[in-house]
Amino acid sequence: MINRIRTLTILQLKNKKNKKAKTKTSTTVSIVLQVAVCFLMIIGLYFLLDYIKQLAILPIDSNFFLFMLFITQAIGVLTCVFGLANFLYLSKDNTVIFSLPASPSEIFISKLAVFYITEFKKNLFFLLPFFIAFGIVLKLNFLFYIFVAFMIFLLPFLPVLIGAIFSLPLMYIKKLFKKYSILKIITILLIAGLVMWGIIYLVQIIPRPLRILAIYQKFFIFIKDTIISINQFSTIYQVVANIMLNNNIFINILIFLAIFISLVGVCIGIAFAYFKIASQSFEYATKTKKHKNNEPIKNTFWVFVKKEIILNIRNAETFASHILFVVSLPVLLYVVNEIISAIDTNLNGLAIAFAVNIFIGLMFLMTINTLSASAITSEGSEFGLIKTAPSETYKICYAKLMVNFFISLLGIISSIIVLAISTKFNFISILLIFLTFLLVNTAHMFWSLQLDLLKPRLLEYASSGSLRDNKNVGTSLLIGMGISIVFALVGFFCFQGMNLINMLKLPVIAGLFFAVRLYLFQLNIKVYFNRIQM
Amino acid sequence: MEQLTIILLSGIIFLALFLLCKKYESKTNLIIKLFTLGLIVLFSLRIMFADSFDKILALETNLFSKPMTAFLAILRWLTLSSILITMLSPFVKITVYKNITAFISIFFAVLNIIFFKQNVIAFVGNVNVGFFNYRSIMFMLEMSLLLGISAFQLFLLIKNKLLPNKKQIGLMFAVFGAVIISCFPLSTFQVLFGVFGGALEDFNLAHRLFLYATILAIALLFIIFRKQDENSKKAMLLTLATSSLILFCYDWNFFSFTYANLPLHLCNTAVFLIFIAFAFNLRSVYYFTYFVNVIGSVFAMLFPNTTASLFSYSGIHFWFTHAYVLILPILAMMLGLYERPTIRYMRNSIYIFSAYFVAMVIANAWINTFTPVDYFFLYGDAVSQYLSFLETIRLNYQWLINISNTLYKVYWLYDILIYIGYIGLMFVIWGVYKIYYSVEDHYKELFVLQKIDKLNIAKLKKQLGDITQPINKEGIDMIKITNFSKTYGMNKHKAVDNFNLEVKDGEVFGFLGHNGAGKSTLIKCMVGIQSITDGKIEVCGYDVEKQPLQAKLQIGYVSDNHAVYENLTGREYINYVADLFMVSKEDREERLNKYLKMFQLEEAIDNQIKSYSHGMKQKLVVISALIHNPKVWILDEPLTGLDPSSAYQIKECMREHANNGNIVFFSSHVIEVVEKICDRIAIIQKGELKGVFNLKKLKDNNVDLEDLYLSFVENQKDKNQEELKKVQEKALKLQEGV
Repeated sequence: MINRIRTLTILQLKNKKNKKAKTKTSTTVSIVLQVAVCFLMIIGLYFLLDYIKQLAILPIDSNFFLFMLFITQAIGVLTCVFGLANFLYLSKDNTVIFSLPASPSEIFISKLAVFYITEFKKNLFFLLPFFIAFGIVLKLNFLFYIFVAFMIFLLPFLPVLIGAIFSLPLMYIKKLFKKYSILKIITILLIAGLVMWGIIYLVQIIPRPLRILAIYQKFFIFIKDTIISINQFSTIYQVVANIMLNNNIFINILIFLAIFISLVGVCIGIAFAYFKIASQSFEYATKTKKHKNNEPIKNTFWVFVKKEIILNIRNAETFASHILFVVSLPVLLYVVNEIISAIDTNLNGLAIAFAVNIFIGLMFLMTINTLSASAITSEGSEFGLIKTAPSETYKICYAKLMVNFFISLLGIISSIIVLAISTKFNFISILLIFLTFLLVNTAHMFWSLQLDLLKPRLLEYASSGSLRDNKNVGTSLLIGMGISIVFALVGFFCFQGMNLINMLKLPVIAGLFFAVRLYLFQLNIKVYFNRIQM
Repeated sequence: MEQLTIILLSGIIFLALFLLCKKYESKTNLIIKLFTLGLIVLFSLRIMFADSFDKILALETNLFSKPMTAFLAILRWLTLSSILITMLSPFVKITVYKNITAFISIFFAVLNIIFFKQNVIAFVGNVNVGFFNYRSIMFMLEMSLLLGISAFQLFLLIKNKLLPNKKQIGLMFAVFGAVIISCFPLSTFQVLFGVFGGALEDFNLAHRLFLYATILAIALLFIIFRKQDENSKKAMLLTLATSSLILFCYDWNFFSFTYANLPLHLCNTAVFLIFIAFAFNLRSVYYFTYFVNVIGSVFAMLFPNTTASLFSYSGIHFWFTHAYVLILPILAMMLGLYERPTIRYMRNSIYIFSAYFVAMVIANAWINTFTPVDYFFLYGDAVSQYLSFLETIRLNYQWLINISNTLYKVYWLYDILIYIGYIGLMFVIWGVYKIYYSVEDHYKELFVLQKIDKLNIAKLKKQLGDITQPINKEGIDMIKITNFSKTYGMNKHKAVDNFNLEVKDGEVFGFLGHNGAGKSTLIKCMVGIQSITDGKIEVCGYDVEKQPLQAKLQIGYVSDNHAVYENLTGREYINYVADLFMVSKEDREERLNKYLKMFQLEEAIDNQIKSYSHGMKQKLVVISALIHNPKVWILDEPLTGLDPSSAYQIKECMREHANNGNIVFFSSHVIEVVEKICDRIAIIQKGELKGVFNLKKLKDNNVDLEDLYLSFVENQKDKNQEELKKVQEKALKLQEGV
């Protein structure tokens, strides 16, 4: 049994990482690098904690220890709940794994083992260095480090076991969402709305004028109180912290064991029912309203655009994320400007405010361009349909940009309206921001699609159906960040003194950037689109 | 008196050159090089001696009148440029330098001889300079060498009948003009105009403009020289490296030596290293400057430790030498004179840098015991003024060593952090270079491909006039594959090799082969999904590669993976395809109704495709392929996974489509299917066409298709090999009549 679980775990780990075969040297190098990273983390955290302790802005004590432990583990629990809901019940490879000669409970345990290893690794790179750095800063005794050695192996069990339990109801919720996609959209928007309302509420209570130095003490007292309040919900992690920090060790160990055994017990129960739950079909025939309209569209560009629009609207998650994007950007800029407006600013401050708006606005705007950075990849095996379509390549490419462009444009317009209402910027400044956003973002959109055009991952997407590991998306985001920083700096210099001629330089530079990217995009689609291989 | 001496000396030099070159004709260049070395030594000494002329501001001096001062300033500038070219002329392999030496240097040598007295007064700052003053003697020797060498160069050109033509004369003045811009005495602008302009600091306008100009200079030089031959590129780099060396050394004064003036700062060493790298073609030295010095100069230019204006004496010394240190290594790489660095060069650069770093730590600790120096900014607060936390570290972590009552001080933690930071920056710049290489490679490839595409279109236009017309008018009713080959990526193995085939209208043509034989590859190339490595594919007379749009309009394609947009409904998908193929409303409705009925999809057509079964999707793909009634219907393994009735319907459809005068081309590895519906078949094995057979003929001659197929497949243990061979031979004979 153990051997089978081991084999299954290794199989799934390899499949998850999809790593190339490693040589002995590369493995050694990788281990040395990981140890070095761990070591550097310890040094870094030591200096940080020591610095905080010396400044006395936050007490480095048991409360802080519990807070850090709780926060890191809470994140782990959330990751496990959502991750396991997919990995245990909705994973594509379930059909293969269930056909292997292993019992469902063995498969269940192997899947938990995969998550345990992931959690363990995460703890190794943050929690372990934190524990050691904390111990050194507070000069804790040897017993603390012994418990660290035990806990680093025991702690990852908790999020995995909790995740295994809570992933079950989550799976049923997902199932419901799959059946009624409108429910999913409503829920997402509801949660997003609540979060935004919370943020706006917080912004409203900012004192005006905001004098950071004056509220410095208040702020840290608030943080201390918040830490204590959050710690009240830490439940089992309070027990873990007590054990590690030498408070009522024996009774706490007993409580810990009792909780641990209970969690294992519940998971064993789930393991027995695992096959029955996981093998349920999730496929539902999605029926749409019947319409027998076969009206032709004469312009092939609009044929592609129509297809793109339908595909984006039909996918509930994508559609909800588009709406969220359009709503979030203005809210974000509103929040930023509310904070800035609470601070007394001079002309230079206005230039900084402008630069901050450019930076945040562009950064956020460009995240939606990941749509373009995966536009070709996300065609997967359907890309063959595009390749066989008798149409000019530029029409296909520009159609692929249209949805992205339209959502960006909505985001920009709504943001500009919010900026006009909530900031001290005059009409010219607002107009210049609009032009800059539009030109720079569109240029980045071209660049993002170009990235995907040059290195599409059609086969990977066709086989996995996932865009998670698409490097083009990461590169697009990275480039977006670089562009935002550059244009924020340019904006800062151009808006110093609020001189109109100086200010006009910003859209001119943005225009040049747009022209260069458009030219390069044109060149690339002309040459490479027809050369994409499947 | 001095003039006569110079003429006499230059005559002797000319004569010596003439006699030596006559005796050792094959070693002419070496002899000239040796004499030029003498000029180099004298010139180097001259610029490193004090020069009173450099102290003049805006022509204000009591040594000369204002016009004479201005004339002298310009003469010295132009002389410097001509001497620079004369010095380099025997060491570079380009004619234009020899022409400049022969025609321009000789002119300036004569001018300097005429104004000899004024020149020497300018050096010493005193009107009473005697014949035997050491500056006078040195300048006499220098001018004699310049005149002698340039006159001999002129003599050689005349003797060898190599006098420049009009174009070469133009080029000569253009190159000399460029050298004038690149090299000038540090004092020229100050003497002529005084100190003007403000400091270049804190990214003010002047600072920004200079930074832009530096980047522009790289781009400009790259554009000018990218298509020049290697010798010209090398000559340009060596000239600029020498210019920078001259600009740097101009500031040195033999009689006012200070330790602080030693060229031990990283960028100071760079001026020498770059010159050495280019002059002696030392690769390791070059890569050191490429990784280490470029970073140093970038930081020096971004955060200058000078407040001098750009065209002041010290401004030129600082700004121009740093700009050269940045421009030259990058330019040399961009122009392809050095191969892209491997990690070995990076490692070597780190070793050399480490040795330099340790040496500077020791030098700072030692020399500061008797005079203040701050080599590579490891001792003072030049760096920590920008990063305040470093100042605390610098002052708090000192290592004091007492040797013989002398206290040596090392800021150990500060130095270590600077070292780590610099090494980190070297890796950052390595990353930046890597990005640049990939961009450069990409666009190089792009422009080559673009050129090929343009040439193809131009050729096609020339051939057809209207490129929407079929390229092969005789082939409008057929598929014609000629010498087709396909390889994937960099793989040398051919997935399909030298494939030839013709399929005519009215035929159902079967394409038979084992898994991985190359069937799908060929089909994907036919429909435009894959590129063609070699050969030509024509569909209805249209070249698939050159006229993709026209060719695709003739094709209906059923893929092997039944890929469809799952979030569309069946009807939306069919309409999407019909719109692309510009099918009228009437036609699409008629055909859609017919096929929906035939494939029993009427109920499901308005559902999203994701709810369809495998077979339903396959039927939908078949409908979409037929919605525009294509001339050529291509199917890749169409019957896989279909139920018997659906398979029957598709087979019927194929037959009907061929009977209507169209071509049906399909691949399969199911022999029974092929046998039943095909008129002709082709067998492909490991990318090679084994034969094209008429099924009726095979049947009439009792050739079993299964046996024939197996005869082409290796290692058929269960079958009698000899029997299979006979079947194969019989079939191949029949093939001749096909």
